[in-house]
Amino acid sequence: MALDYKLVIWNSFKKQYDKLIVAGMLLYIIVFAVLTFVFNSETSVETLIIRAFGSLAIIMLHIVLVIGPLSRLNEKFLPILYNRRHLGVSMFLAAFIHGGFSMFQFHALGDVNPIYSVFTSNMDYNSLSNFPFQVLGFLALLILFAMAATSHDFFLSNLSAKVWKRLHMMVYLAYALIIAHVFLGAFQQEASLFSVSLMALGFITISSLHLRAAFKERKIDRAKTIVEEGWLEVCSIDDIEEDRAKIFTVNKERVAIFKYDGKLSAIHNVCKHQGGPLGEGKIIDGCVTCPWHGYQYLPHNGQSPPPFTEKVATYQLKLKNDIVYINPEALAEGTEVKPVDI
Amino acid sequence: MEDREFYVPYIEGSLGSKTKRVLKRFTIIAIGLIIIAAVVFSLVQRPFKNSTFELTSTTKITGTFHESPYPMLRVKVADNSYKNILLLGFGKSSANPFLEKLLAEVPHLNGRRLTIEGNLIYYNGKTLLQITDEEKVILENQKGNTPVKTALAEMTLQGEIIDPKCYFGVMKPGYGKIHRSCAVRCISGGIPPVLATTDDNNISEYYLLTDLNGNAINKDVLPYVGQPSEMKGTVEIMEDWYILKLDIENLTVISEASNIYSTDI
Amino acid sequence: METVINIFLTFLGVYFLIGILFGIFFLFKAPKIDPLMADSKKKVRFLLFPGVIATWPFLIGKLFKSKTA
Repeated sequence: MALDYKLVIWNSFKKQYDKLIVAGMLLYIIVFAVLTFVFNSETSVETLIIRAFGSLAIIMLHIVLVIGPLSRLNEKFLPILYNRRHLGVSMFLAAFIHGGFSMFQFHALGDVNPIYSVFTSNMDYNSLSNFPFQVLGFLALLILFAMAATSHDFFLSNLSAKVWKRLHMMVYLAYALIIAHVFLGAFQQEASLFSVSLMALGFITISSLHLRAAFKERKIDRAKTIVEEGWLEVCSIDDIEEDRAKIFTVNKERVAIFKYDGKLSAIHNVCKHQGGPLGEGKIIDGCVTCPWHGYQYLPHNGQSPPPFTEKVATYQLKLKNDIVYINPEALAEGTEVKPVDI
Repeated sequence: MEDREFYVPYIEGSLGSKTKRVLKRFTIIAIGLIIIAAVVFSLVQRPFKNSTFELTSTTKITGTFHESPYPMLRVKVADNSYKNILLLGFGKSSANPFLEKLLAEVPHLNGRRLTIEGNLIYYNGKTLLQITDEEKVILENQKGNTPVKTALAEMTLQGEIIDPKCYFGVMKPGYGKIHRSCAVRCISGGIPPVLATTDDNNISEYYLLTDLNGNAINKDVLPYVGQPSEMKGTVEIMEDWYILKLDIENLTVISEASNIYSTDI
Repeated sequence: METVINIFLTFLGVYFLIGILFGIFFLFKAPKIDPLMADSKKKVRFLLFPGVIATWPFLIGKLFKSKTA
């Protein structure tokens, strides 16, 4: 939904969001540094930076990872998802300061290239307790870099939504690498009941939220539909709220059926922008509006209103005795379908 | 039902009060998490040693140079009392490259008096000097005596091979798993390998490691650096330093943590 | 293990080297990859530069497609 690319499409919400990110990061660094200087004053500044930014990055990663399932479970969390991109990039910056400083401290000014040193200074790859944990952090940082660097709509449209999504799903791999990096590194030398419990609690929170969100969505996919001469019976007309939609899975694809102005239309549920669930959106000014970033589509043809060019697939509907039926065959993206009058 | 809130960030005023409340609650929880995490992660840090690295100030020291086998400067601290200051290069490197200019003028430096200006590193009675500029190594006219080594006994010692530069001041902590790669890099780059031990009474001793002939042993110890290990060899005393002459075959990594991890040395 | 590491790091080095070359090309000729870049401010190219380095294998195809088209 853009005619050119901007550095950032600012609005007041994003600005406030970003101010909170910066304030939160500063708060963490200041509290960490002040407590360290007061209770452990022999620290060195380098160690302080490495530890403060490393732990900050982990906290931020946890916040980033809970936003997705939270907003799938409760749409009131959606505004946090809206600008998650900036939170992710800030998280990468914190991780980069941690990784960059560590690589300089521990591997630079030596007799080999620092990156080569990360991989070869400890060759105990077949040991668990002696495992070269810094390699895990390095690999996680590479993934986070690729994700942060492609956090722009340019890459969504040029890498294709599928490739982009796959790349950004690697955050879970990065999370696993980071957990291993901490458990095989810092926790081997400075384990404390408190810090280990905090990490474990974080893992439990993230995985249970993801499971709950997955179960919720499985219900949609498992819902039974009755076939009648090639048409699927999906629901009663009263099941759909005005200006809203219900989501059904037909032919393994999720479809959103919208009710508006006394009419019904069905379009593919997946937004072309970042794959947001259109069926959880709302009709605003006659357009289906995606709940994630507000991308819009006309319900009768799945096309973004001019001058925008995004298109999603459309479906044929019919109504018999207040029961809604759908033809499971998707029409080509942007195909005009006459809405069903109620 | 129709009151379900729907927020579109580019539509002013579409942020409903229920959504606002959820956002507020999320922000408060996030801030709470940030504070709790900062408190936990900063307070669980183990105490740091009071070791010192004078990164920003330099000190001029005059003493007798000797290689035993690692470059040192012997300095008189009182009558019949000498300190042997371990000389180190910049970063993770040996002092030797900084002495090459002088070696072009005289055949050897052993027993020659030198004045060196560098950054001091010190902890627990040991002093080291980082040289960063070959122009700041000046050859004096006098000569001095080099220390005498006396063999003490065959001993079996437990501890960790550390790089003394980081351990005695540059990094905190300069030992253990997190620091292991750095110690490997330092020792590989020419910083002398040192065995750090701590006995049950929390007394630490440090042993410069050499091979059986008293030569540098940097490359051979690399796989064992930064891990609790046990080694057997002949211990010699050289004024304020011990030297452990070691056959690398007599070194094993042990699974249990040595005392240096359990005490706040 | 050392061979694996050497292969991986060589691959990584070559990948980023090509990425940087392609990124520099992108700084000058961005509209060849995406016509919308022609109307975008030049600053945007610098913001996208790291991402272009990271994902060049997916973008380089666009270059040949737009040439044949």
